[in-house]
This record gives sequence, C-alpha cells and structure tokens, in this order.
Amino acid sequence: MNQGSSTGTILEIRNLCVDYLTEKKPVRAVDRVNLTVKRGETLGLAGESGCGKSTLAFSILRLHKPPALIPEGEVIFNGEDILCMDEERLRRIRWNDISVVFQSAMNCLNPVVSIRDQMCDVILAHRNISKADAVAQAANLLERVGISPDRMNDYPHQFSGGMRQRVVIAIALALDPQMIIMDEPTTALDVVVEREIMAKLEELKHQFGFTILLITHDLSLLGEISDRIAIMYGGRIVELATSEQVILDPKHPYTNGLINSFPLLSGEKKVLSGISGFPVNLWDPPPGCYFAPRCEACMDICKRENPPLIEIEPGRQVACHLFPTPEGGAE
Amino acid sequence: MGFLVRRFLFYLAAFLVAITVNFALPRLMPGDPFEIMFAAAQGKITPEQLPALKAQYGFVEGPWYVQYGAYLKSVFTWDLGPSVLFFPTPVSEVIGYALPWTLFISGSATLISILIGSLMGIYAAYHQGGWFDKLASPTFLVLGAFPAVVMAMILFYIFGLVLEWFPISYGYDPDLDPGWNLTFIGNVLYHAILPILSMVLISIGGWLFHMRNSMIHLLSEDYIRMAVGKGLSRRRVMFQYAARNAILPVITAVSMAIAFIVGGAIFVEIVFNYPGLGNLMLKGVMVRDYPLIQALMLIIVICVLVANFVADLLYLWLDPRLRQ
Amino acid sequence: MSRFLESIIRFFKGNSPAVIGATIIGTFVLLAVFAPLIAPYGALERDPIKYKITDETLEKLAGIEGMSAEIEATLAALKGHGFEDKHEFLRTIETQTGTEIPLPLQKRIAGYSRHDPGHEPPSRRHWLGTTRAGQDVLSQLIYGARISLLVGFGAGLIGTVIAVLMGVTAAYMGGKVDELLVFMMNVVLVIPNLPLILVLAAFLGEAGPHSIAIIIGVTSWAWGARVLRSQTLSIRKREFITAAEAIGESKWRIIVVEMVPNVINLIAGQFVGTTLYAVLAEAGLEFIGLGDPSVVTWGTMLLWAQNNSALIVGAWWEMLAPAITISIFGGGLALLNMGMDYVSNPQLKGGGNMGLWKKRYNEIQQKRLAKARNDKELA
Repeated sequence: MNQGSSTGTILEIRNLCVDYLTEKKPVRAVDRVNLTVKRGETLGLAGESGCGKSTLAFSILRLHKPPALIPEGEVIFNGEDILCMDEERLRRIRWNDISVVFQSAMNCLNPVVSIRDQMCDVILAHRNISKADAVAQAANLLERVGISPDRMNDYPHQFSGGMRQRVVIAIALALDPQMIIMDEPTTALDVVVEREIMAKLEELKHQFGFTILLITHDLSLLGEISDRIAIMYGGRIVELATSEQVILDPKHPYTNGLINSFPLLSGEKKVLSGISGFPVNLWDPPPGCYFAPRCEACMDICKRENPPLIEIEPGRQVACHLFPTPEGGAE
Repeated sequence: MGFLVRRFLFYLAAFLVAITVNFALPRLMPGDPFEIMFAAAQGKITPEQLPALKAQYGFVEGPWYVQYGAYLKSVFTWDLGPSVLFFPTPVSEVIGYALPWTLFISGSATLISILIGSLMGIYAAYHQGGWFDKLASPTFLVLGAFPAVVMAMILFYIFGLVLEWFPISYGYDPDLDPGWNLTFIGNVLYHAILPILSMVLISIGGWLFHMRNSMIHLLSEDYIRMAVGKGLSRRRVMFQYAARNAILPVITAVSMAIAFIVGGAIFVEIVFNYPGLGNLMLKGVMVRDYPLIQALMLIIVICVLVANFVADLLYLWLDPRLRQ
Repeated sequence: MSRFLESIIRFFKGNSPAVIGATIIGTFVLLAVFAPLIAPYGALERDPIKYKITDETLEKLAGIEGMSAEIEATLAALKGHGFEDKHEFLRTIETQTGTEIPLPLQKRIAGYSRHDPGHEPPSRRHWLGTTRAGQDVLSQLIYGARISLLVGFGAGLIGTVIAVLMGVTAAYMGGKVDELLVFMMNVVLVIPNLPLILVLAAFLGEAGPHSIAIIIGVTSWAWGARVLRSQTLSIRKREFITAAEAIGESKWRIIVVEMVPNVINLIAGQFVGTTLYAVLAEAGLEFIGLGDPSVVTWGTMLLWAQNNSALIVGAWWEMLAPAITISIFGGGLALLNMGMDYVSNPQLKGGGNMGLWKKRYNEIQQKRLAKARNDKELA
C-alpha cells in the first residue's frame, strides 16, 4: 500500500494524528491517517462536519490552532517532512509550494486592507521583486480569475460573495503553487455561483497545472470534479477510491449511506435515505469501528476491533470488516 | 462623508445637552446660589454690582426661555462674565491661562498610554498565557484601579519627597520667565513628568486589556490563519492583519477612556498643584465660584468632544468600510 | 441550592484573578460588618490628651498676676525637672508649699501644659500610627470601610439598575425608543462625568454619603447600558425569544424571564465595574472636600491627611494607609471583574490549558527537529 515518494506523488501523509488538548484528556480528531496525493490530480476529501477533514487539511501546512496538536505522523511534501521544518523553511514553503483556499471568502480577507495590498504582500514576502512588478502581477492574476484590475484598490466589503471567492483563488495562485488545498471553497455561495467558480477552477487548473486537495461535504460536487475521493469518518479514512467507484459502487457502509443521502446531479433518480444515529462522539469513542453503532451491517467483530484501511483491489482502499484482508489476517 | 456629518451633529447635540444641564442646575438647586456665592466672595463684590452681574451670568429678567436664550448667547460668544474668585477677571481669561497646561499633560498622557498600552496588549495577546501576559496584564489592571489621587500621591511621595528626583509643585520653576526657550521648555517637561506618569500608569491597563482582548478575538479569525498560511512574516501578520483590525473596537472605547483621563487629570493637577483646569476647578469649588465651575465644565466637555471627533476621524481613516 | 454552590465552585476553579479579587472584597466586607468587634479603637476616639510641664510652661505660669510668692518660688525651683503628668506636678507643688492650689491656677496649668497627641508613627499600640488628631489610623480604616463600601456598592447598584433598564429596554423595544435611549447613552458617555459630578456636588454644598452614592450612580451607567444593549440585541435574535413571542408572552415577561437571565454574567460584571468606578470617584470627591468631612470614610481620611500636610511633615502613614487601602480594594474589584470576563469569555483566559498546549507543542516540535537533524546526519 505504501508506494513511497515516487515521481507521481506530490504529498504523502503518513500515520498523521491530530489531538485537541482539553482540560481532561486529549481528543483525537485525526486518527492515524495515511493518504497519498498524486501530482496533478484532484483528490476529494469528504465526510460529515466534525469528521476531521478540515483539521487534517490545515495540519498539512501546520496551520492548526491551539488546542490542536500533531503528536505523531509525517507530512512528506516532495520528499521533505513539513512537520520537521524549522519556522523559516515552513514560511517559505507556505503559499510558495502549497496554498490554501479557505471556506468563507468573507472571513479570510482582511477587511481593512485593499485587495491590491493583500495580493502584493504575499508576492513580496516570497519573491524578490519591486512593488510595481508585484502590482502588475496581481493585476494579471485578477484578470485571469475574471475580475477587472481596476478594482484592485477596492476593499473586500465592496465585492460580492462570488467575486470575493475569485479574489481568494487569485491570491492562492499568486505564487504559482504546486498544490492548492481547498477547504469547502463554495459552501458559502449559491449553486449558480458555485458552478461558475468550479468551472473557472477547472480552467485555471489546465493553465497552471496544480494539484488540488478539495475538502467538502458535497459528494455530488466531488463526483464531478475530482479524480479520487477519500471518505473520512470520526477522524479516520474509511474509504479511498476513484470518483466513479466511490459514487457508483461504494464499499464502506458509511460511504453508501452518504451517497444515499445526496441527490446526485448526474445519474438516475433514487430515494434518499440518509444515515440513522449521530456522528461518533470523539470524547468517548467506541472500542471497535467508530461507525459500528450506526452501521446496518454491524457484526460482533466491529464492536471489538477497529478495521484497518486495506487495499481490496489495486488503488482501492476500505476500512471495514466486511472486506477481510486478502491474506485473511489483520495487520 | 455622511459618517462625519452624523458624528458632528451628535457632538453638537451632546454639547447642547451639557449647556442645558449647566443652565438648569443653579435654577433647580435648593437655595439661591447667588447668596452663597456672594457670601463667599467676602466683600469683593458690592451689592450695587449685583444686578449687573446677575444679568451677565444669564439670570436676566423674564421667563426661562428668555433666560435660556441669553445663556446660549453668552456660551457661544464665550462671554461668561467675571470670575468671583479672581474678580473682576473674566472667566474666559482665567480659563485661557489654565487650558494649555491641562491640554498638554492630558494630551501627552493619553497618547503615551495608548501607544504603550496597545503595544503591550498586542504582545500579551500574541503570547497569550506567557510570562508577560500572566504578569503585566493583572499588574496594570490593578494599577488602573488606583484612584488618580492615590497614584499621584504615591508618586509625589516617593519620587518627589523621598527621592527628590522631580519637582512636586506647579508647572514650572517660578524663578524662570516663561518663554519659548530651551531652559523653560525643559523645565516645563521636568515638572510635567510626575503628573503625566500618574495618568499614564492608571490608564495604561485599560488600553492593554482592550487591545489584548480584541486581539485574542481576532486571532481566531480566518484571515489571520490565511495570513500565516501566506507565509508572511510574524511581524506583518501581527500588525497589518491582527492589530490593524483589533484597534478598531479599541477606538470606539475612546470616549470612555478620554472621560476617564480627564477625570484623573483633575485630581493629578490638584496633588501636584499644577496650574491647569483641575486645580482651577478645586479653587472654584472651594469658594463656590459657580460661573467659573460651570465654564470649566463646558470647556472640559468641549475638549472631550473634540477629542472624540478626532477619534472618529482616525476611525474613518482606519476602517474603509465606513468610507462610503 | 447545590446547583448554585456548584456554579460558584465552577466559577472560581482555576480562575486565580477571581479568587484573589473575591477574597480581597470578602475580607473588606467582613471588616466593615464587624468593625466594632475588630477595630482596636473607636473611629473618632483620640488618644488621651497629654500634659507636659516644660520650663517654658513654668515661666508662663510664673508670669501670672496674683500668684503667691511661695508658689512662684516653688515654680522657679522646679525648673529643669520636666514633669510628664499634670497631677504629679500639682501634688509636688502642694506638698512643697503646703497650700492648696487655687482652681483658676489649676486650669491655667492644664491649659499651658496641654499637648495635642499629634502624629504617632506605627507602633505596637497603633499598628498604622495615628492621625494628627491622635486617632488610630487602623480603626479609622476599618470603620471607614463601612461608609466607603456602602457608597461604592450603593452607587454600583444604582448605576447597574439604570444600565439594565436602559440597555435591555432599548434592545428589546427597538425603533424610536431604541434610538432615543441610544442617544441618551451616547450623550452621557461622551460627557465626562467627573467634572459633572464635581459641579453637582458643588451646587449641593457638602454632600453626605447618600448624595455621593446617588450622584455617582446616576452619572455612570452609560457604558454598561451600551454593552448590555448590544448583548441583548444578539440574544433577541435567538430562537427561544422568537418562540416566546410566538407563544404570545408579554413583552415585559420576555424581558424579565427570558432575556435578563441570559445577560446575568454581564450584569454582574457591570455591577463590579460600576462599583469600582464609584469607589474611585468617591475617594476623589471627598479628597477635594466635596464630601462631609465629619463622616469617617477612606476619602475623608485622605482629605484630612492632605489638610494636615501629612506627607510634608513626614507622617506618611496617615496618607498612605487610606491611599493603599482604596487601591487594594479597587484592585480586588478589578481582578474579580477580570475573572468574570474570563468566565463569560473563556477564550480570553489562556492560562492553564494554553500553557500546557504551548509546552506540548514545543516538546513535539523539538523532538521533530532533533529527528530531522539526525536523519540528515545519517544521510
């Protein structure tokens, strides 16, 4: 299952754990996650809110905030562990190599600084060029996301929601990064604007050739634009496969439940069912599979042992006792 | 520019309220303020002068609105009649001598405390829970709970009387001739150190806490996380992103802070016998020089309103969202 | 009841500013309540008047007309003796001359030899020294706490009640009422209230503790009203208020039953804050002589110390004792307020958990950096 850092791999997350430090005991929000992102692909990361997908995404650039801690794991980017970098090296890799598009464009732009300054400061922080050149570059970027450079001196509140998200994408592209992490980039927008933004993103991806890690709870969106999809539940990855496999032939009962609770934009009409019960309480998680209490196919072993994430066919991973390891034993 | 016009009209209204309170007070109080005042003047004023004086103070014959009109006129022409204490010097002249001194120490104290207090607040918030935050924040909070009188007295005793580092009385050395020369200015600064320090010490905690709390709220904003993600320097994240936004709610609290500092200035001046408005207020209160006290109240209100307006201008400059 | 206790324990747990502040304030309240039991002397009780018969006194006495020759001679003979006690002096003269001393002369002796007890530095008898009038400073502080605390808490209560009424009403009523009340708040906020208080007090003449509490209370509610208004506004938007409105509960019932309990933290904080301000303002007012100087409070103690030039003549205890007491009490209120802020806004606290996080974060990062260095060396 471990391919190492071959040329095709841009980012490899190994055994990553994120804890939230609380008064009583640490709560594990991300639990031993292994995930490989291939160069040039769009990898979707989906799950209910609170499943740890955003926490995982932010941990990649060490943007986690107190009380989150990363006690274990490695984040290998181009052969180098980001978690082991010193402050300066980390500062340089941020945005230059990996940038982030945040959930709400409303909140991630500094309200009292002009768009121009917010674009230029990141360029000037990483590139040794004159202010005038930085401004020209910023103008060019705005144009590429479909915003008139005349509006550069405006402030965030003067833009509409969709335009703000375009600005945020322009800022994310400012340094021509190899990878962009997108945390629910379109949840705050209405569907029409969402489509526009996603179409623009596709177009830009063709021009720039970056890799995308897209975090969302919107499976139908993922099904359309991502190459592969990873499903998270209770801080663990429970299934990883290509988009078609996940959408059309989900293996894990949780994935199945998720798919059945979403109307897919393309595909046949079906009855939506949803998943009964409540998301796992990470304060007091069950001993076995976290999904067991809600699972219709729950077996005895599920209540005792946590199923490991195993490869059931090439490029397809599932963590479920319904799919025993090929050799027949646990790891 | 609707914002500034609105604010200006509000300050005008507030000023009218202050004038009205001033007008109503002597008319509502039990007893005749004139009797008390002239009794206290001890023969400086002859009974023959009385009716003319009354008129000058706005107590003209006629119903209240005529009196109010007369009072408004006297306020807006700044012709408030003679002071009883310094009879026959006009109140406006008496205040004219004292005003620059108060503006000097209150203004300096305000600027210094804002500057130091906010910088400390930024630092404390950024290193929340660190030694500075644990030590300095409560210390300055407790210092802020010292009455101005007490703080002034303690500095007066330690640095003035015991250590004799600084002069303890008046705005300058009476042997010197006032003038725009280095000796005199140096002497004025030397005399101002303890009064300013007293005010700075009691008001710094307020700024520190406002800034700290405002910063802490902001540090969890997405745009701060994005700024960090952008790989900007720590300094830039702190000032351009966090502090630049955190200062806004702090500025809106300025009206309370200025009122607090002005209150403090009165007592500090009294302790250090500083030749400003506060000291004048004390003298006026002692002999019940009502025209002087009322004029002092008005001039202090005007200063505070102007300071608020300046704060509004600053807010407008710092927050683009208001500039529409 | 036990829930009430529990919530109190939860409030103080791990909240050191609140614990320290509450301890200070509690101590002062106890001192004030049990003042007669605790104070070593009465508030106005003076040390007994002292008599000292110096040579100067003897000369003055000898100069009195109609003095008998024997007494005059005896007086001259006693020069340099230096009596500390009036009665001992009288007895000595009587035994030496064998005559009874006439009453007018006795009075003269008492008059000329009388010495005010005066400032006495801190000693075992007077822990904090005495005032110029020979009163025990510690006892005055303890008795003074009664009035000072009453004025402070009284003004705090008045100010808070007005603030709650104005703030909650403005937020709940909205519209024109809100506009008017907000205008009033802003006006009162922008007019500096200490000068206003001074003018009011000046017109009232010597203001007793009641007047001072009322004056301070009615002038210092504006900030609290503004804070409460904005907080109530945000609560107003929540579902349970909408629900109560839908059920058809009366406006006042909604305000009192649904809204006020939700801003109770804030109200308590306002009370502490206003009390703090009132204590400071009271001290200031009384210090400049606008209070009633015959009532013993911390403020009038400052006034008397100032009038007696206590600092200049070296009797620092008379000035610093009340000064520091007020500051400690004020500091206690400020700390309690800070503790309350921490509870309604746990984010501000940082403290324990945050410290632990920093420690763990640094540990983990150190380990990683060490490992990275190690790997590099191996490679």
